[in-house]
This record gives sequence, C-alpha cells and structure tokens, in this order.
Amino acid sequence: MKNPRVLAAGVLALLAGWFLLRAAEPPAGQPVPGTGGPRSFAQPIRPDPVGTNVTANRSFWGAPPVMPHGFAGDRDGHYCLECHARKTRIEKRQQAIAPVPHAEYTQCQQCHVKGADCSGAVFRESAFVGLDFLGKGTRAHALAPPTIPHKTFMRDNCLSCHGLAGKQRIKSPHPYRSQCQQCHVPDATKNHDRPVPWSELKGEF
Amino acid sequence: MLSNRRDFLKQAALAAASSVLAGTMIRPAQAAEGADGLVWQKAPCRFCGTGCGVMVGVKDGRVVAVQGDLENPVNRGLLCVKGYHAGVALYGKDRLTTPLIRKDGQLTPASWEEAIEAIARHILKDPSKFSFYGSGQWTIPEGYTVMKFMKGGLGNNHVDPNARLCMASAVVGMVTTYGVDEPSGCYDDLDTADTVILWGNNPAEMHPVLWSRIVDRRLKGQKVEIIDLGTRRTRSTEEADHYLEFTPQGDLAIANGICHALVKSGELDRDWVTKHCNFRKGGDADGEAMTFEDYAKWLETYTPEFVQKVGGIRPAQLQLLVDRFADPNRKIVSLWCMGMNQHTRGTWINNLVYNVHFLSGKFGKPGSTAFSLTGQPSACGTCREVGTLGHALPGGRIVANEDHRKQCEELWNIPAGRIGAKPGHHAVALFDALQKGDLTGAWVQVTNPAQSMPNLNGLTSKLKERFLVVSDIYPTVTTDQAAVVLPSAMWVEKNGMFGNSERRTQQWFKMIEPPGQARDDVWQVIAVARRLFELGHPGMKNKDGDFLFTFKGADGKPVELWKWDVFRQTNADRLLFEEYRPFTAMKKYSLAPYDELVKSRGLRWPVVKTPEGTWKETARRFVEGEDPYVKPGSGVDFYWGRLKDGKALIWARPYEAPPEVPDEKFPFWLRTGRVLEHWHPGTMTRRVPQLHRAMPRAYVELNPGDAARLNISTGDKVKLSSRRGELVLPAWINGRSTPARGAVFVPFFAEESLINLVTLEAHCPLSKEPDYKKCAVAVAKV
Repeated sequence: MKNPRVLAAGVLALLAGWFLLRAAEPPAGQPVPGTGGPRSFAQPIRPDPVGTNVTANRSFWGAPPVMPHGFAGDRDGHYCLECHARKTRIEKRQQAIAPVPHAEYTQCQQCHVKGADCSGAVFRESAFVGLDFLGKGTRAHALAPPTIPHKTFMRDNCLSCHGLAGKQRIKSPHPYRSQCQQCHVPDATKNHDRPVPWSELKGEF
Repeated sequence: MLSNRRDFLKQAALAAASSVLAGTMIRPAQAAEGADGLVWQKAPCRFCGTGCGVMVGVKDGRVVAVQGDLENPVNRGLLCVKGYHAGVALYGKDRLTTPLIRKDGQLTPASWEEAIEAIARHILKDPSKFSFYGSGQWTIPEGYTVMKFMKGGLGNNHVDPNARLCMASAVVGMVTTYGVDEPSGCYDDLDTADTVILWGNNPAEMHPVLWSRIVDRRLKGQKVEIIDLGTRRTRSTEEADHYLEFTPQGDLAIANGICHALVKSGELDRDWVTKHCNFRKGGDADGEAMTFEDYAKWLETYTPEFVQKVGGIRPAQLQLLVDRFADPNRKIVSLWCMGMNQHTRGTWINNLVYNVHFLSGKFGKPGSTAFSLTGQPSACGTCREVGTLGHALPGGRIVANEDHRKQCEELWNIPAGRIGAKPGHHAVALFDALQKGDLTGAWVQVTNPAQSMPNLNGLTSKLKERFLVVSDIYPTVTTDQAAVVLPSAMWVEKNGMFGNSERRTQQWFKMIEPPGQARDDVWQVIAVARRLFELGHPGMKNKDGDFLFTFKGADGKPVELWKWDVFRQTNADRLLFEEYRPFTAMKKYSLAPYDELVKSRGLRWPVVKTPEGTWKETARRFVEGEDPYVKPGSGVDFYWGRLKDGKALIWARPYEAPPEVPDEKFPFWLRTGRVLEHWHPGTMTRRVPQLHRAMPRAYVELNPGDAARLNISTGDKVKLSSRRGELVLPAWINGRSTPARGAVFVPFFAEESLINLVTLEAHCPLSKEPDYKKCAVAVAKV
C-alpha cells in the first residue's frame, strides 16, 4: 500500500463499492444514512425451528427462497454466480457459500428477490399458509441410505444444500462423495416432480 | 401410494369428464386427495401474457404451493417470482367477501339479491348510457358473456378492456399489415433465432420465463445475439450484446432507416417481397397503393444522418442493425411489448417493424419472425379473439360490418338489427364520456382504472358521481369510487380459460371455493341479465322468447345458471366456450374443443381435426406445412391479405414527432411501466410478503448525470410535475434501471403514489392506445 497509485485505486474502488451498495436497494422514504456495507432487511418468513432451511425464507415448501442478504447487483444476474457458482469458495468467516443447485439457469433474480426497507410502505397482510416440509425420507433398515424426501427438479446439485454450506441438520456426513443418487433415490410419495400426470390420462376421455 | 392417488385422480377426472359432457360437472380436485393430502392440478399462471403452466397444490381446500409445470411447453417447469407466489395472492386478509352498496356515502354490506337488483334497475333506466370496462385478465368465457350481454342483449357497444392500454396498437398493426389479428410466429422461434432484437422491450422483468428461454441457450453453447434498442438501461440490457439508445419516438425513423439501407444497397430479399408483399402509403388504416419504386423513393428521407437527427442512434449503430437484416443466413426475431404499443404512433411502428422483416424475408421461417408479446394472460384469448373492444364482435368481426353483425345475431339467435351499427367507445373515450356524464354508469371487472388510466384528474375523478359497479377481489382506488362492489372469485377459485401471446388456449378447473360470498364474474353478469329479463327488458330474450343465456342440460331442461347453487355445480365455461367456438371459424381462428383443451397443456390455434380424429395445433400461422389454411405451393400465404391476393402490406409510414415534448418549463421525458415484482396496480402482488419486501414502494429513476446536476441522490424526495398533475417520490439512482439523460421512469404499481395523475392521455389515432412512455415533466428536489 506504499504505492500511492494503488492506494488511490483502493480508495476509488471502496467509494465505487459504497455507491453501488447504496444504489442497490429501492429507496426508502427518507435518505439512507451512509452506513454502506451489505445489509439485509429480509426477515425470516416463517420460523425455522429445526434448522433445516426448509421453511425460512420461503413462503412454502418448494418456493424459491428470498435472498437472505443485501445485494449490490440488482441488475445483473451473473453477479450472484460470482459467489454462488464456486463449489468450494470459503468466505472470510469460514462459512462455505452454497453453490447454485440449478446451473442451467442464469437469471437468478427472476425468482429470488431480496429484502428492502419496508418501513412505512403500504402493505396488506396475508393469511396464506404455505405447504410444510413433507417429512424425512425413509430407510429400509437402520443402516440403509435414506430416500430423497423432495423433488429433484432444479435441485440437481445436492451439495448446494447438503454440502459444506448446508445447515447442520441436513449436512451430509460425507460431503466428499458427490454421486449422491447412487445410494439415495427419490421417494415417489414425496417427490412432486411429476404432479398429476394429465398426459397419462389421454385417451380415457 | 402414488398409484392410489393416481387412480383416485383418474377416477375423479373421468367423473369430471363425463359430467362435463352432461353439461354439469363436479370439480376433479374436490374429491381427490393424495396420500399426503395434497392434490396438484394444472393451470396457466394468473399473471403475464407468457402463459406459463403452473401446478397448483391444494390441501384441505386451500392453495398451499405452486410450482412450474414440467409438461407445459411454454415454460418447461420454470416460473418467475410472481408465478411461484400466484397462490399467495389469493389470501390477502382484506379479500372482498360480501357485496357492498353505497348508502349515505358509505359502502355498506348488502345481499347479492340487493346488489343485482340495484344494478338491473340502474341499467333499465337507460341501457344505452351504460358501459362495461373489462380486462385482458378476463377469462375467455367471462369476456364472451359480457359481449353477449352488452352487444347482443342491451344492443350497446360500449364494451372496452384495459387491453386497449396494452396491445391495441399491435392489433391494428397486424390487421393493417396482413388483414387479421395475432402473431404468425411462436415461442419456438426464440429457441433457434441467431439474433433477438428488443424494440423498447424489457423481457427480463416483464416476461422473465421467455427471457430465460432465450438467454440460457448460451449455457448450452448456443450463440444468441441480443440487441437492445431502448431508451433505458434495464436488466435486459445487462444480457445484451449491443445497447442502442434512441430518442423517444425515434423508433419510427430507425425502422424506416433500416428499410432505406436495405433497399438502397439491394440487400433485400427481392423474391420474398415480390411474392408476398404489396406497397401502401398514407397515414390511416386504408391508405392507397404505391409501387416498389415509389416506396424506394419515399424512403430516401431516412438516411443515416436523418435517423441520427430524429432517432438518436449513430450511423454505425444503424448499420449494425442493417447488417443483421442483410445477412441472408441469419435468423432474427424482433420482440416488442409496451414500448411500441403505448405510442401515439403505435400502429405505424408495428407496421414498420413488419416492413423490416418482410423486406429482409425474415418472416415465417423457424427462428425468424416479428413477435408482439402481450402483457396480460388473456389479452389475446379474450380481448382480441372474443373481441371485447368497442368496435369489435367475437371471432375477428367488427361492429361496422353489416354481415358480421348479422352472423353474430344468427349465432346468438337474436332478432336482426339488435346489435348496434355504431362502434362503442374506446377506453379513453369511455372514461371521458363518464367524466362528462354522457355515460351514466359503468361496470368494471378485473381491472383498476382509477389507478391505471392516464391523466386520472381528467378521466376518472368523477366516477363517484356515476353509477359505478366494480367486481374485484380486494379494495382498490376504483372500488373506493363505486356505487356497488361485487366480491369476485379469482383464478383457481373458478373454472377458466386464457389465451396467451403465441395463440395458445389453456384451460383450468376450479380447485378451491372462493372466500365468503365471493362469486364468479360470469355468474354476476348472467344474474343481472336474468333480473333484467324478469323486469321485462326485451334485449334479454332471444328470438324464441327465451332467456339470452339459455343452455339445455342433459335432461333437455334449461340449466338455471342464474341461480348460484346451479351455477356452482355446472361447468358454465364449457357451455359458454362451446357456444363461442363457432364464432372462431369465420376468420379461421379455429379454436380447439373444450374437451381437447382439458387434456392438453393448451393448444395453439388454428386447431384442426386430422383424418385420424386427433386435433392438430399450428405453430406458425400463414406458413405452408404448418398452417392448414395455407394454399399449397405458396410457401407463405397471407390468406387474410387486405387485397385478397395472399399478400401482406409494406406501409410507408413517416416519422412524426410526439404530441408533447420536453421544453423549458417541463424539461424531462417521463415514462411509466412495471417492475418484475408487481403486477399492474399491485392489487394482488402487494399482498404477497415476498414481493412486497423486494419492492415496497414506488420511486423515480433518474439518470446519474441529471441527478448530479440537480444534486439529487438516492432516497431524496423529488417532485415530478406535468401540465396535468404532480407527485412526490423518492429518487433511485443506478438502481433497477437507468433512464437515458433527460428522462425519468416511474413504476405505476403503487396506489399511494399515482403516477397517472401526471401522464398524458394522448393516443394513437388508429388504435386509440394511450402513450404512457412519453410526456413532459419538471423534476425538482423537495
């Protein structure tokens, strides 16, 4: 940092970052105090007592979660993938960052929205009660691998949730193994990948 | 366990299908319950015109989850954030659950009988001064019922939808270009296009699933070039290879500039043009013939220099577009929506974009088409096909045509001459007539005009003084002005059918009961019609003296649809749709039978029966080998061509300045629009916590340069004022989007920040669609 040009560039980058972060949230009624830094106004949507990541930040089991943190790149989807696409990136707090579970999509913010300061904004309450977790998978016997208790469409990277970044209760005890579906198979009673196959009813009308 | 559930559902579906045939039905979901108590059924999404398929999960009579439908070819399992939360929108705590009648200035709970009586008595006073204002979110049977009630019953043509504010310019554009409404191409073209050009379009927020369908091709190693021709940097711009920023209204000059360059250099597809096009000049809908040579001469104004002067893009940028169209091997799709349609020359710019595609022969081939996206889920299915517009009649017919009126009178079995020969008011004129008192009453369904019309001070400030009936699901700024409020069933609380942007008609069944006393919009109209019949209004009788909405049940007796208990046990959608379907034959729309739509994830019309007895949809209209009505050997056949020679028209439409341009007093352009999270006036989406938290309030976007000059930073209060009204909003700079220098953008979803107090009601003289994208405002820090 002895080189003044490096220092200047650093200050510039910090300033730019600060402006970006400020710009990233919809404006509140009052000017935002210049605190800077990533902030989140997103409250957990439903309690998550068991720490499985099943309900927190989702309106129902299967809904896309809202972003649990502030985010500067409102406009750019690829920005999300800077962190979430890297399989083993370790944040400075030594927490792993979940890689995207559906790498075939890039327009993240089409489904995942972030929280903003809602103080004073017009909102009418909702009485919606979302679908809950349908329960754990089953085991044939105590030593058998459990079945997959949820759909796998858009969840083809199991390690997104069950890898290092996963919450304790659902973390894999063997994250070094990546071929999950070799042992864990979907449970049709809890897998809604193909809900009511109307097409199979063809010809019966 | 799964097979149990499947069997159960099969049984239920079979029971439903057979009772459908008998004219009455039960709802398949009602009885069916899977092992986990959860039943999934198909429906199209409630929101935009993309028409994504969703699977709605119902448990204990409530919607508990929504997911993308993997079997639907539109979205293949993907949804956007609004779609996933469509089910949440049903459960706002302030749902309207009882009819309300204004007594002593207060909306007071009333019975359905009282409300229906009040409406019928008002209409009876002067049926000719009553009007109906509907929506592109009407289901097909809803729009059809209203058309029959108003035009076939009251003999009153004053029916217009909010879709007038949305796609009227596309309609008139297509009708003047190839003689019939609705696009030729389909979403499949997005999968193979080499270049996608966005004409003032932001699909990343407005049609997110289609946008993913285009952009995510890149992950598969496919090359798709995106050119964003815009006036504002948006999320779509982030994915674009080129961003060409033009001056508002400059699109007219740019399109002509491309044609000029193609003709001048000879890089046009001369064979295609000779075979499939005629040339036409003039500003109106009829115009007069011109030769190719005349057209080439006419184009000479549109030099790159001229285009730069009025359109704002540099000659090199224009050349970039020209090069794409001049490349004979390149497949190009043009996409547009409100940018081109909400335009005081909306019809012209629609014509001109077709010109570009015709001259370059980039039309009617897989991956090459000019495609107008619709904003609402059934703007096509209901407003355009059923024709719920002042000047229109069902199935592509128009009021002004005597034969068309006769055909409708015959199909409806009503006396000759019942349908009025004078077209009804278009939306702006309708509210103007209400404002002035020329119309004394209006019934509004599935829309919120006191928020969404332009120039609210000038058009909707006196609604309280008229007899305003509003059918809605939540209180809005429009219900605030109503004399009668009717609580409606929404989406999967009723049977329904929508028609999306690519001519796909989709059907769904009722899955849950509406809350409280809320009832279907179709029932509301039939109940009022029946009351008028009982009170002796002659229009409510058909030629045989029977009630206008008479349907015979399996037992040969009339189904008493006006009785709620009968209605809710009957699949009125099937009865109404099958009555409507013959209307679609004349213009070769040829919609599929109801029962085929039950089985499919929607079918794209024209749908014709094959010799094997199956029903075949049409991906691309006017294209040989795909569209069954095309003359063999023609390749592309515009069989509704204005000159009856199978050809489309290339129109010489000039550049024209917008009616209000920034000046010293009002130095900024104002444009309004939507955001990803909110649907139109936010009536539904502002009751979804996830959507609200992401986008809690309206704002004004400024260009950073302008903001610096005016010393405005994010969060500062800014006053916008125009010749019509003013509004104070917080500023957002470098946020969701960045408008061009000298322009500001405001979303219109917030009822506490009505930007339409500021906007202008100037509209395209041909399509009557107002221009929400261009008016002049002053900007001041408060």
